[in-house]
Parts: sequence; structure tokens; C-alpha cells
Amino acid sequence: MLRLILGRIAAGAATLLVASALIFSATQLLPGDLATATLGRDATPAAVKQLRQTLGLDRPAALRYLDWLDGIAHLDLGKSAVNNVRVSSTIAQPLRNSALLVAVTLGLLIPLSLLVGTATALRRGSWFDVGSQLVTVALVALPEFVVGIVLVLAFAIAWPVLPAVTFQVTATGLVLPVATLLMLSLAYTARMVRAGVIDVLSSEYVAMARLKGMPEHSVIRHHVLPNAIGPSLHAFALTAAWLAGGVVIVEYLFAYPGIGRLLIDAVTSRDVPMVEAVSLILAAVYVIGNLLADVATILLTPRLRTRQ
Amino acid sequence: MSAPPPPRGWRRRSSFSWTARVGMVIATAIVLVGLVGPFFAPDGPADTIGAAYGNPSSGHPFGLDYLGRDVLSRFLWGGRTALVMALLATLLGYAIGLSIGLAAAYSRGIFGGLLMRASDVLLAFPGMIFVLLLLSAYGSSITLVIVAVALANAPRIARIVRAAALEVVDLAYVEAARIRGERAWYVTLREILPNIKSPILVDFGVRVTGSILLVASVSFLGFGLQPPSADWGLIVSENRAGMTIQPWSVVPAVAAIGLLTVAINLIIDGYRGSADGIGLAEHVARSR
Amino acid sequence: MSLVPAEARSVSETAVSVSDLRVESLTHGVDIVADVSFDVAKGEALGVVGESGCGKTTMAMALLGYARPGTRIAEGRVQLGDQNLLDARPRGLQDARGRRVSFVPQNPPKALSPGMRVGRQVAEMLAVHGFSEVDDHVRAAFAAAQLPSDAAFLRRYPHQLSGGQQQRVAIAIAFACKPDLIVMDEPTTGLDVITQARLLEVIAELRGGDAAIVYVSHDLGVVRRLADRVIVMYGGSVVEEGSADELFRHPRHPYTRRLLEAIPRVRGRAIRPVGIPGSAVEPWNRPAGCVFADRCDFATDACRAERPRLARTEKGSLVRCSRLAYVDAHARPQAVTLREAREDASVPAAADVRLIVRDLVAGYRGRVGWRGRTQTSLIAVAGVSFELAAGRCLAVVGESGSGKTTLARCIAGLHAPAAGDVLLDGAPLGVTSRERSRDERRGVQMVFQDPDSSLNPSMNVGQIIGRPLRQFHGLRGRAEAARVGELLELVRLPAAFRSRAPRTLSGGEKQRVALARALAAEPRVLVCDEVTSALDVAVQASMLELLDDLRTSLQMSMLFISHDLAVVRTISDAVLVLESGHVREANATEPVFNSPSAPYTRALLDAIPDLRPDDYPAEAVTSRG
Repeated sequence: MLRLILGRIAAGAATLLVASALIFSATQLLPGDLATATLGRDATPAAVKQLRQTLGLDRPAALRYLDWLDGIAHLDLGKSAVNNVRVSSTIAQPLRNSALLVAVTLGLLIPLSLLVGTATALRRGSWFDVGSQLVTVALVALPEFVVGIVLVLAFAIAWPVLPAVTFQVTATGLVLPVATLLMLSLAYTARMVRAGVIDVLSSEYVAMARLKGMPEHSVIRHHVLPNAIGPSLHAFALTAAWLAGGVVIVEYLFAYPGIGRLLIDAVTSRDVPMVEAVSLILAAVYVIGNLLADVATILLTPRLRTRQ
Repeated sequence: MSAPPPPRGWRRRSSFSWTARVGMVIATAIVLVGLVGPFFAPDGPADTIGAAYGNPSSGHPFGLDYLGRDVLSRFLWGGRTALVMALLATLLGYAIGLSIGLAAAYSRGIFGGLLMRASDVLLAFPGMIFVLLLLSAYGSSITLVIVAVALANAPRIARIVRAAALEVVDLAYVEAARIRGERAWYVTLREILPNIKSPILVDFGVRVTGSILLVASVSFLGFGLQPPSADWGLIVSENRAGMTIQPWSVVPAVAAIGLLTVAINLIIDGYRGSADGIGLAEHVARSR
Repeated sequence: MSLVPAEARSVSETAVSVSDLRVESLTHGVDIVADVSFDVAKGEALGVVGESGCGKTTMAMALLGYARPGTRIAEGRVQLGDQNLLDARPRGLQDARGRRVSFVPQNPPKALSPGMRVGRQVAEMLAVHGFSEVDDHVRAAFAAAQLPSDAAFLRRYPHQLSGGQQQRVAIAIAFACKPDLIVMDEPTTGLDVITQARLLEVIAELRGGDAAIVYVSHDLGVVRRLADRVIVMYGGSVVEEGSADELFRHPRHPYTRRLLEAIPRVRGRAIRPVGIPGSAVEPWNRPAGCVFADRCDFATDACRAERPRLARTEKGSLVRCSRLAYVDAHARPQAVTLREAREDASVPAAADVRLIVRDLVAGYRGRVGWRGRTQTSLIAVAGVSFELAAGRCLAVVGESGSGKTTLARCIAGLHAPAAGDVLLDGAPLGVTSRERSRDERRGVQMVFQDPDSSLNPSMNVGQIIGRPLRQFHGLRGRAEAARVGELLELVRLPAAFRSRAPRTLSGGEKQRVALARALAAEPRVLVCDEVTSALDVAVQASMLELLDDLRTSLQMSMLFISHDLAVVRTISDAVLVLESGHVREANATEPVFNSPSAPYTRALLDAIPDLRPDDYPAEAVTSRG
């Protein structure tokens, strides 16, 4: 089993490496490149060539890639093409802001989804369950910006209690962005928890526990919940991974100063090093999240299969 | 041996629950609006009527947008492109993902593993990031968005197809075909594919929803269709700033996108065609 | 109203009294179990036998007042001492379950909570029922079930135990509170023969004192070993009830007679089992009159019109048949003794040899993880050789893990052996089907174990059988349709079946279609991999009859893989006994059964619970002329 987990980690690292190559080649295949972008369209060819040499852009792509990787290893992500400030210093604060956003969301998500998921599973078929099923089916489908806009319309315009944009990271400023992310991910995780609990409730060992004469509350506490938590871990890890992408839209919508918004600005202004760096960070979060989900599954399935 | 009679107290049991049928009605309505809307628009998408953010009036039930154009008209013009793009992206993604998934499931062993690893690399990115990456490299264009969304979908489709096919590929009737020496294409197309219709149909619905989501979000971020085109995602983005003054400028577009994705989801969730009644949550989990 | 006369036994001697039990299906609105009444005395073991779908598991669970999801216990009484379980309040029911009546489930791996240590699963029950010194009782329970009772073992999780150990934990749970009644639902399902024998010993030992046992099973051999009295269920009702000796030696009801004739025997005279025409009737199709009428040789219109009632015979049994006197007078067993010719079929003439296997070695390369340990290769077949003559049947017998399935797959071309040769009519066969010529592929065909996965669900029967016809014989259109019809007739299915979809067929019917598909290629060797293991006894007997007839009429060689020695005895000319990939014994069939030379074979044969030599239809059987 340990070998399997290490294998997954190795695969994850390899994936990230290949992803970094993809990121690098995608951004480096610009029709123009960093030099032309910096100097603008009217630059003379000679000036462009000069800048290229200075920036080291005339070296082969493979070497530049290795340079970049080397830089990452030393936590040097290059300099922004727009304002020539070091990327790593520009990223620092927004990264913290996004981390805060994700942390708060996850912190609320996990207990809420466990609560809602278990409650709806135990009261399956009741109005509470049917109602929440309809709500979650709807929420799971909606684009992030739709939920965000609706919340803004509701709580910033129709009933103005919360700010529509968040220039600064304050408690009230966090509410709507977190609420948006929370509603979307809660729909998914609550459904997963519910499915897991229902599955366990209909299992033979739960029936067996009842046939032993165990009272219902004991059955739920000792036979249902411990065995239902496992699959939910998988869902939580996947959600953490999903949030890596989800923050982009939400931060843009609420003008929240996080790395998602940084990415959008960078793409708009063709700030290649910034795009590369942020993409890599988000990809890493995504890969790690998926990895944790895989590891959770492995840890909870003692059986391993042979393949011919 | 005959099939059991319908359960007591039920009318004829269809493959779709009532919520799914409600979803079908809503989805059809919105798709129709998107596709034939332009024929019913009172004004053109670029016609300036009056002052910016004009209030709703009898001729303009949703008022005017940030450039003084009729919101309703632009809304009716704005669905077509996005819907077509989403559909094309899904189909293209399927063409790629289906082939990879089936090939990986049938050949298994090292080749299959490599194939999946290769496609899994694309899974290192959340869909949105991947699309943004490509757009930042090549600039935004309709074709690129379609290709990008398709490529973002393909590995997830491959995973689902492979998982479904793996459950079938070891079954006795497939082995019987192998004993007979049937060729790979026959086994894949006639023994495996028809028997994984159910999970694939569910997945198709999920993908279409996802594609609409991605395309709309990309437009919202400003990387899809560019102004002055009319596009639902773009409309929402453009009129965001004026929401406090004239909220109705974003309402139709937001409502249309939201209702469409929800409706498709209701259809998928209410689809009982699959024997194991696999729910949406389960399905989405397997594909992430 | 109980049918047991008051004078038969006093109330204080009865452990449980069941009256007029009826369980209905909520989704379909029909009865699954109806009109079931019986008593079990203290210390008595009651066997409940019947084929799948007769309602025995539903009935067993109702004895604990438990209704399976989607069902409802509609009426009846389950009187346990002074308490009617079906009337009890939830608190009373919880109290009785585990303490006064307990349950041993069918599927041990699924019935134990995966996240709880095994010791605790017993302990929590004892605690809930008010036992003190719980740890001592837990240890005693484990010891009684012949499990280690040290602390380390008690701390294990279910998945760290073998299948046999898991089932013994379930038994420990059932016996721990020393209840008055223990209900066992097919507890030996899925266990290999030797483990099963051990489990039966444990049960036999634990039976002491006043505990009554209700043992539900489709395996009549096991019931014969354990039960004092037996109930036969068919179509949701009791059709016959009597003492074990009386019922097995002199069955009265037509179904019971036919059931006993369908069982293959390991010991005593070799009898060819006879199947029952038709198939078991589902709850929603049960006729108004006698449930068995459609398959009964003696049914009249009166039988079909009105449901017979249970009547007491002079020997004290209860039988539900309105034509009992007629049946007694006219019923003749149809089972016959197997041909004596089978005894000297061991050495075929050289010219007749169709399949030769020489020193076959096959295994799997892969990582098998069990608690972290990994093996890089597993040898399933470790050097097997044999010869199979034309028109003969060779059986390969072994427990799971013996390598018999791998051997079959190598011969069929699904698995590449690591070493050794397979020759068909003298010519070496390509290792996998891809490397074989079309003729070679035609020459070897296979029928599989699981009827539900044997047929492509998206095709109909005609298409399924038609495909090999097209592929191997180039038949199309009318010629193809005609041949499909012939093949259906060959496997004794109606021609109309060609347009049926697999999901509308019963297990036995599906296996016949799979057989027709294999026969369409006109193979020289047919490999049957546990083809009857998933079928009911009566359906199995029909299938074996069919296979045997086809073998002789088509002069087809058959390789019959099975773990069931009794089945093997009735169909094969020679037997190969495999253990862990090695051949332990190879001989003609009867010598293997009557005088086995290998200790392994002897151990296997001893472990099989079988009917007694003088059980029905022993005396009345005639030899085939």
C-alpha cells in the first residue's frame, strides 16, 4: 500500500513537471515575445534584438525552460513583464489573500456538508430531504459568476447590507465571495456525503447490527458514521482542488485582491512570467488536491487488485 | 421469465422523473430562445437607443445597457454563439475522449496506462486555468475557445469512458468474443460501447453543462467574444458596473445561463435509464 | 391458527411457534411469503429448503421481526416464549434480537462492520443486552466458535480475517448471548468445501442444550447432516414438512420428490439427476391454485383452480397436495443409474485423442497486495498434463485457487501460458486466440459461469447466436436464421426466443443461449467453466442432462471445470483433481469416487455433506436398459 501511495505521489510530481512544461511552452509560443511586448509594436527590430539578448530570450527554448525551473527551485519566479517587479514579491500578498478565502471556505464547508449530508440521508424522502436535493441539484450546475451576481443582486443591491466589491480583505468583504464559493461546493459535497451515508445505511452490516438488537442511535454512531466518512474525504479533497479554479472567477467578480484576479490581469496584459507563475501555483494546488483524494481512497480500501 | 409489473400506485414509469421533464421543458425553451432569438429581437444588437442605463419602459422591458442599447434585444441576440460553441466543444471533446477511453480500456496493460497518463496531464489544470493559458498564448478567438474547452473536457471524458468500459471488458460475453477472435474494432463498437450507453449519456449532459459554464465564464472574463458582440457572458460582465443603478441590465442573461444549466442538471439527475441508478453526484465524482 | 395439534408437544417444549406468516412486497403488491406456520422445539434443528425465489430468506428474517427493505410483514405471529415478536414494540424487539433470537447471515464479508474490530462487534451486543464481565463472555464466544481468543485477534478488523474466520465471528455473535432461537441463512455460501465442513462441525458442537436452530439452505446435503426436521418451501409457501429421515427417504409432495431426484450424489450409487421442466415462478406470476401445478406431472384442472391446504399424513408429515393418494400410487422416480460403461473409459485409443496438454505452466504477473506484502508473480498452474479423447468428458476439479479456471482459459486462448503445449488433433494451438487460425478458434469454444454476464445485453438472442455463424460459416439471411432455429432446438429452447433480449431470460435459459452460441461454431472441444454453479439444483440437473446428451450426439469432447464433486460425478468420464496448480489425482470417474488414491481427494470427498445412500430415490431407481 505504501508503494502505491508513493507511486501516486511520484505520478503527481511527474504530472506537475509535465504541466510546467506545458505552461512554459504555451506562453512561450506567443507570436511576439517578451521583448516585443515590452517595447511595444513600434519598436525597431534592432532594439527588439538587443532586448532579447539582454533578457536571454535568444537562447534555445529548452535551456530557458531549465532556467525557469531552476529559478522556481530557488523561489525566484522571474520579473513581471509589465512593471519589472519581482514576481515572487508581487504574488506574496495576493497568495495569502486567496489562501485566506479558500481556508475560510473549507473551514465552513466541511462541518456544514457533513451536517446537511447526514441529516438528509437519515431523513430520506422527507420534505427536508427532497427540498435540499432540489436546491443542491440546481446549485451544482450553476456557473460561479451566476451565483455571485445573484448574491450581489440580493445582498448588495436589493437589500444593501454587504459590499458588492471587496478591495480590501475585511470581514464583511469576505462574506459574499466566501458565500459564493461555499454555496457551489456545498452542493456537491453535501450530495456526496448523503450518497455515502445512504449507501452505508443500506449495507448488510448495518442490517446485521440492527438484527443484533443494537439501538438505532448506536447503530448510527458506531456503524454508519465511521464507514461513511471515508468516501466523503475524497469529495473534500476534490473540492479543495476545484477551488483552485473557482477562485479565479469569484475574485474577478468581487475584485478581491487574490491570485485569481492577478492571473486575469496578467493574461490581459500578456505578462508572461506572471501568467506562468500563477498557473503553476494553481496547477500545483489542483494536483495536490487530487492526489490527496486518491490517497484518501487508497487508505480506505484495503483490497488491492491483481491485473493480468 | 417476464419483467415484473409496474410498482403499485405508479403510472407508466418513464425513464425520467417529473423533475427531469420540467428540466427538459425549461432547457428546450432557453435553447430555442438562444437559437431563434435574433429573429424576434425588436432592435439590432448594436443599435443605440438612448442614454446609458436607461430604466425599463414599455418599449424596452429590461431597460438599456451601459451603452444605451436595448437589453432585451441584445439578450435575444446573445445566446446563439455561446450555445453553438458549447455544443461543438462538447462534441469535439467527446470525439477525442471517447477514443482515448475506449482504447485505454480495451488494451489495458502498458499501452493503456501510458495513454491515460498522457491524457491525465491535461487534468493537472482546472478547466478554467487551462483555457486561460491557451488564450493568453494565442489570443482569443472562437475557434480557440472551442478547442480549448474540448481539450479541457477530453481527459475527463476519457476517464469516465475508461471506467465504464473497464466494468464491461472483463465480462463473459466480451471474453467469448475474444475467443472467437473478433477484431478490436468490433469488440469495442459492438460489444462494449452499446453497453456503456447509460453512464455516457449522463456524462454527456454533465459535459454540455460544463462547456456552457466554461464558455460563459470565459466570456464573462472578457476573453471570449469581444465587444461589441452580443454574448450572454459578455453582457453580464459589461453591465456589472452599473448593477446598482440598473440591475435589470444583467438579469436576463444571468437568468438564462442559470436556468439552462440547472435545467440540464435536472434532466441528468432525473434520468433513471441506468440500471444502477447512478446519481449525478457519483458520476461527477468519478470524472473529476 | 397453528396446524400443529395441541397434543403433539407441550408449550413449554416449544422454542418458537410461527403461525400464518405473510410477508408482502411493497413495491409490487404481491405476497412473497404466505400462509407459513411451523413450530420448532427446544434443542431441535429445523431445516428450511427451497430454491432461489421461494421466499426462504425473507421468511428467515421475519423470524426476527425484520422486514427487508421494500417489504412488509403483513400478518402472522412469531411466538417466542411469552413474546410475539411481530407485535412487539421497538424496544421489545431490540431487546429480543440478539438475546433471545439471533441471526447468522449469508455473506460474511459484507455482514461485519468494516470499521469496527471484531472483538468489539461481539462486545457491544453483550453490553447492550445487559451482560456484565463482557470481556470474559467475548473470549468464551470466540473460543466456542473455534477462533483464537487472545487480545491480538480480537483487535483485528474483519478484512484481516479469512472468509471462514469471518463466518465464525458471525456465529460467535449469534451464540454469544445464548439465545433460545438461532436463525442461520445459508451460512456456508461462498466457502470452499473443507472450510464448510469445519463450519458445520462448529455449528454441530455449539448446538447443545435448549437452543433451537432454523437452518435455511438450498443445499440439501448440508440440511441432511444438520436437521432433525425439514420444511420444503416453494413459491412462498410450505409444501411439505416432516422429520428429516421421513422426508428424505419417503418424500410425498411431487416437488420434493423431483427435488431429491435432481441432486447429484457423491457417495453410494451414481445416479443421473433429472431436472424439473419449466422454471421457478416469481411472486408476481403465482397462479391462483397450486403453485407447483404448471411443473407437476400429476396436476389436474382442480389443482390449478384451487389452492390445496396442508394435510397431515399418517406418518406425521404435513403435505400440501390435493392428489396425494394418486401421487403415492403412481409416482416413479425418473432418475437412472449412470452407465456402467463409464468405469473403463480412462485410457482412450491413441487415434481417438483430440486434446493433449503437456506440462502446462501458467501464472499471473502483477502486484497482489495483502496487508502491504506484495508478490510479483503467482503461479496458478504448475505443470499439468492430460489427454482428452473425442466424445469424452474430462472434469477438472478443485477448490478456488487450484488453477482450474486458469487452465481452462489457457486452453480457450484467453491466457498465455508460461510454458507447455496444447495440441488439438495433434497440431499445436497458438497460445492466445489472436495467434490461432480460424479453424483453431472454431475448434475450441467456452461457456462461462455467470449467466448474467454471458450475453451481450444490447443484442437479442438471434444476433448473439448469429454472430459466430457469420464469422465461422459465412451464413447470412435466411440460412443464418434457419441455423439459429436449429441451434435453439438443439439446446431445447423455443424458436420464438430468437427475438428475446437477455434480460428477459432466466439463468438457465441464458446458459442455454450461451451454449448455443458456443455450439454455433461447431467446436471439437467445449470448455465448460463452472457452467452450473450459479444455477438452482433443478435447473442444474436439466443443464447437465442437456450437456451429456449433446456430447454423445455430437461426439464433442468436453472439458468440464467445477468445484462441485457431485456434479462432476454425473457428467464426466474421467476426473483430474487439482490443488494449488498440481494434479493430485487423475483417473476414470468411478474409481476416483469409490477408491481415491490421493489424500487430498479423500479429504475433499469426506468433507462433502451428502444425502444418505438409502435416501430417495435410491431403492426405486432402475438401470438404463
